[in-house]
Amino acid sequence: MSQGKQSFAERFLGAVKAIGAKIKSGVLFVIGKITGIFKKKKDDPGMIKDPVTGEMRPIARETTRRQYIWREMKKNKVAYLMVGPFLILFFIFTVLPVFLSMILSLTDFNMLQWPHFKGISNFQRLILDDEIFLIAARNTLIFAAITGPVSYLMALFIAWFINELPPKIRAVVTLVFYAPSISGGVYTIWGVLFSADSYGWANAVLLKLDVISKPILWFKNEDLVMPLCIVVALWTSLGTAFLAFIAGLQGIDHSLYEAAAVDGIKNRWQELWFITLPSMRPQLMFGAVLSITQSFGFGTVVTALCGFPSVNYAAHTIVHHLDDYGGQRYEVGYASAIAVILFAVMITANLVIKKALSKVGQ
Amino acid sequence: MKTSKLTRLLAFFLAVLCCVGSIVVIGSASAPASSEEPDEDAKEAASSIERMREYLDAISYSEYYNAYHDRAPGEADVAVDLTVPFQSVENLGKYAPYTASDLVAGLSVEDQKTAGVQYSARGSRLLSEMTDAELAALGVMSISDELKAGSVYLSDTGSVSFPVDVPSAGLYYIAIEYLTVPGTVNSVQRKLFINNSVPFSEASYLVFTKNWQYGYEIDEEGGKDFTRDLNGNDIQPELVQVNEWRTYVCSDSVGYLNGYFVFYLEKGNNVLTFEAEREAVIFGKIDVLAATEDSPFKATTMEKYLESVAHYPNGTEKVSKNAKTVIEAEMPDRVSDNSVFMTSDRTSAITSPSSAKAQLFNVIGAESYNTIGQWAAYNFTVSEDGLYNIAMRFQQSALQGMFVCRTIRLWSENRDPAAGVVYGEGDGVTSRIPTVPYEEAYKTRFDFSKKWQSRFIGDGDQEFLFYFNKDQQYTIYVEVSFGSLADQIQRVEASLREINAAYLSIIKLTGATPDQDRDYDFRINIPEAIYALNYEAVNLANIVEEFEALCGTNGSHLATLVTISNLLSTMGISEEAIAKNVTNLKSYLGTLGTWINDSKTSSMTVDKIVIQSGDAKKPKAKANFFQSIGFEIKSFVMSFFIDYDNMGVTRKESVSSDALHVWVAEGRDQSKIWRSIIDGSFTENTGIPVSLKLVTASTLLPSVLARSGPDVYLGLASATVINYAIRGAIDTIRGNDDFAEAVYGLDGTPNTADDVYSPAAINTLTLLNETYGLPLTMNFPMMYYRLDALVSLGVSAPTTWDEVLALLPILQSNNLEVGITYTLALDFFLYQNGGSMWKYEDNPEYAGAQVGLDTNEGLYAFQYCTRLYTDYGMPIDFDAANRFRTGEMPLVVSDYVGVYNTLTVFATEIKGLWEFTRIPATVRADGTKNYNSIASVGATIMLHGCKDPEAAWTFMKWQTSAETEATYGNRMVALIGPSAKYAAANLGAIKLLSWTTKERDAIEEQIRHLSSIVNYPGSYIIARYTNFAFLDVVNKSVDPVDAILSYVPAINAELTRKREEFDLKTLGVGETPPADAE
Repeated sequence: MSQGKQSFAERFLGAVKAIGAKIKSGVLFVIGKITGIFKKKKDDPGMIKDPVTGEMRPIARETTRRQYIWREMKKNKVAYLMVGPFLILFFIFTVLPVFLSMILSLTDFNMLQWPHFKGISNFQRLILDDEIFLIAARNTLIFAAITGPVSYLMALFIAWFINELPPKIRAVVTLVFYAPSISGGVYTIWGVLFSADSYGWANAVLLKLDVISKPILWFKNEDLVMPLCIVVALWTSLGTAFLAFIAGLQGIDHSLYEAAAVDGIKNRWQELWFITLPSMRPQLMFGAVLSITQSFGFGTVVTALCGFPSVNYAAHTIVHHLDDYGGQRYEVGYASAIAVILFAVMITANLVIKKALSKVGQ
Repeated sequence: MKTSKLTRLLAFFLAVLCCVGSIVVIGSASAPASSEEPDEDAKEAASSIERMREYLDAISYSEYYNAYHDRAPGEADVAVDLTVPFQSVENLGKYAPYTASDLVAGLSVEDQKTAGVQYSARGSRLLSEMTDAELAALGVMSISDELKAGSVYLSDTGSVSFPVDVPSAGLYYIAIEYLTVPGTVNSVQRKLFINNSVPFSEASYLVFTKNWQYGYEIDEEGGKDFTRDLNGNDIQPELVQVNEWRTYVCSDSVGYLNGYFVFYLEKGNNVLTFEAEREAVIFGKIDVLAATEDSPFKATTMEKYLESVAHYPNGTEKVSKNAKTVIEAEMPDRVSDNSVFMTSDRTSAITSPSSAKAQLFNVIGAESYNTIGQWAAYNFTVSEDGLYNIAMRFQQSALQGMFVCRTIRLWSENRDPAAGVVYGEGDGVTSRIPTVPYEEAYKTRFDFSKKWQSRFIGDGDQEFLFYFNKDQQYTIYVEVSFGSLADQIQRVEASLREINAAYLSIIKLTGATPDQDRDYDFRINIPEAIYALNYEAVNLANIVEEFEALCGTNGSHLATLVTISNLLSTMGISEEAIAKNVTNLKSYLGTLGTWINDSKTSSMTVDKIVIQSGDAKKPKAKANFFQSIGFEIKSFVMSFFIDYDNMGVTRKESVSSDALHVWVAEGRDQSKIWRSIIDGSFTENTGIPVSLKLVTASTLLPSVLARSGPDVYLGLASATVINYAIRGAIDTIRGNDDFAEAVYGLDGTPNTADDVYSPAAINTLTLLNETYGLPLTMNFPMMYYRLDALVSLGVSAPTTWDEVLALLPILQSNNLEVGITYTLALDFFLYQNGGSMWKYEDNPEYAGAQVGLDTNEGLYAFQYCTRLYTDYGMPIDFDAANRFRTGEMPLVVSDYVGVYNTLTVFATEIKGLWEFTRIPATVRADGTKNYNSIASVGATIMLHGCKDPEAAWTFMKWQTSAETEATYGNRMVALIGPSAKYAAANLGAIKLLSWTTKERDAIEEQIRHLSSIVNYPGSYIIARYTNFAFLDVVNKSVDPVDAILSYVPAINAELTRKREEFDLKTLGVGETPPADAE
């Protein structure tokens, strides 16, 4: 059961990631490269090198845009053949489900029976008549607003600091910081640490010091759940983004720093802002996308530590809400509506971040 | 210095004050309980404590032996007349030993007297009084009149006493000729009382093994082979109980004693009482045999044995190199119980037989056949007279640096003493008892090595020689035993008990997490415990040294003992270290328990046994390089062609698409067992082919959606059944003509003696008067308790919640706890008080429309339940199995099969120290007691769109029938071990599963008191909101009634919303069902 509901959430995250990162940088880049090669080889008489941009463009101005694209595609059929398998799989397993769930969000699909069309009633109920969704939305925003930026900055600064270390030590320290996020379910250690049992570590220590007289139900206490989960989230968040930053930092051309020094850079902060960050903009973008999807999709850890649902919905996020309806209540239509909204929020957040990042170094 | 003395003085006064206080509390708490009902109940409780105490305090055999071993042996053998107790009813009563023995069944002493003493024998009778039909039912077909006259049938409950007139005071063996009767897979077990008391604790577990025989395929020449499936894989042959006369000489079933018990009997009349623990049995003869020096049960030495065989033909010479008899170990002729089975080994290319493609059985042992007392027997003949060695090809890689032991017993079939030495006692016609040829054979030793070994068997000092004669047929019994390690392991076990007792007395003083800075004055308060720590530290260190001397190496297995010994001496020497290390000690107790478990399971894998001369070449141990690499490559290549889906399929039609498609979401072992039962029984009898697929549970939903699901699915949880049913994915079974009969027995009505399933189980699968499946498994909580803890506190297991509450202060003042989760507590209080989770349950249309928590019963139950955790301070979150094991939580309420299985494998050191019983009752206002527990069910269902509903229904009925369920459950236990107990839903199956009589009584008693909660649409919301309400009470001290009432509207709203989705009738706030709805 949990497989099904999980995959919905994951698929959307995957879609965002893939659309952003892969289509743009991956597919277009490959096509561009390959077409470039073929152009050169064939030296097509119908093409001419644009004297201003240096790119090839057709001589025949009178062809329509569609004809032009078709001709280009025919010409580069080998390239399309090569990206074909990936595109087909990507379409079937990522793009199609996204569209499917948009359609399902307008129905009362229950996983077992044929769905009926319901119009926008799911969205109506979601926004106007679902208190729990509002709690979930609030919690999600708090999570995203705290863990997103904090983990992003943390990853960036720790990467920056680590980058200053000698290579061998750097490798070790990198592993240490990266370890929590690669070792899968390691966050369950927090479950032991803050177990509600009197043998839980935190409880045992506090009982011993006579701070408390009976065990605290850490993950079952409304007031404590949210802060604890945020701490755990930050602890596990130094993931792929962090590695990307380290790679980005190491890829920067050192001559830039020398040139900047000559040009009058005064301190490390200026160096960071004017040289380092702009030079690693692709990695920053990548890290930002990851950190948004992570902070919005943060649910597994909460479920593992607090149970499902968390006490009085204190750490109930949109992903939980989605799981709740998609898995436990067999209301996949409604769950799809939640997913669509989550999808929209993530896309928006991505656009905002992209805008913000373009300001780096200016 | 001065201040610290002052503090101590103050602390002392405070302590005295506290002590006085707690005594007053205990006094006041226990006083009303005893003064209210000074009647039967109290007496019953007192006598059951008394009985428990006697049982726990019984001395061990070694103590018994030390006390009596220098007494004279008895003068003469006496045959006991088994008919005496049955000659008249008075006789049965005269010797009836133990008035408390039937109290288990809830019969008071008075009742017993009025019901007549026959009750204490409960169905035990003389064979001569039974009709032929009754005898046939017991499997006794032909029996001589003489034998019949003296034999007695002992049923599986109650006890029977036999008087015996002993000619002189002295030491005796007790030998019993017995015939097993058809029953469960359990061995027969009896508790022996002599003159109304258990002489020593080991006598509580006398185990009479049954004989089991595998059903091999026999070819024309009499050769044995395994049945194969369509792909050429061997199939586990069926195991059949062979009922034949055997002789049992009372001995240690735990295996610490090599040899037989000697009993000291006074001159004159003695009474031997056998109390049933497991299984019925027929006793043919009981002999009380004088334990003289030349008794056949006293083993000689090998030296003397060789002298005694010297006068036989070729009695001093080794046989020639050609005289070789090879026995393939995977084909035993008899085994002791059904967990001795053959497996397939692929670690060596030369294990015979072996195949890269098919799975062939080629060894016996490994995970099975490793428990003390289990044996496998092989028949063989030899080709020459003379002295033989026995070579074995085996692998013993379980215990690093240790060795395992086997006892070798022999039996000669043709009993002609002139022809050669005769092994074993008895004449072979009515009884047989294989014996060791000499005492060294108890200690046949197999050393550790990661690789396969080939050795002549011996005790480490010498290789054993046996005299065999070519005209005789022999049987060799290879029995798992402790051998020379018995003493040490037994002492470690005793040591663990001492350390555990010390641990408990420490935490009684300090609590689970002691204050490290406090001075507890351990030496003054609990001097015995501190002494025990010191003593056991030295004791364990000594044992380690002895182990090292025995094994010759210092393996990693011993490191555990060294570590624990060090910790104990640290704690014993310095008082400050005690508080610091209490939690360490707790975890080491667990480690030590596991260590004992490991040491007790002496695993070894045997490929073949060769009877040959010591001068001839032993079988090859290891494959050479080319053989190995060739085998590995072949296996790798073949692994691409093996059809794992259809492993074990013996019928072609089962692979076809017309077959009934059945899915099961369990392990491979489970699906294999189902496969073989279906092929062997269902398809054989009905001709309906079945295709069985092993899937993961999450596959079902997508497959139903894609219309590619199975016809029948096994073991779907009842909540999911209702979820699927209401969405039209499951077909109702109520439409079948024989539905009522299939579910409620022949009379077709519920709540009668012949119900096939508990009505509570059917209830969870029923929605709107339609039933959507047959119950396959049924689990429910029961109460587990530690006998030793309760006895040391002088209390009996509570039977009502009031008693639990009265017990709490006593437990808590000793830092002990009661473990029950609040969800269970809530359900118990609700249903035991006559409440229900749902309103209007008697009106099918409106059942489930509103939650029943805002009724009087609901509010009372919730309030009562939260009080346990707020006022009484019971733990909310805990690891029940671990705390039960250490004894900190002597009362635990939990699912009967789950905890039972865990404790059986994981806490063997507390075996016999715990029991389970029905959960405590609520005493209702009218004085009646309600013991209801809550059932949870897994069902076999028929999915909508099933191609052949009739075949599917036939399959479902067969699959959930008593025989099928019992076969499955018993095979699981055989394959996986005693921890694989199966919670069958079929009430008839429970009788056939391997529970002890007492356990089964308790389970059946609880089944008579069961409720269940139907998962109506939207029910998920109830658990969620009651959890919130509960946590509000615990975390924020909200008033319980306010807390639950604040969530009831939200629950009802969700129920209404969910019901509207399915067009079910709903109720608004304050509405009740219309009166004309009926």
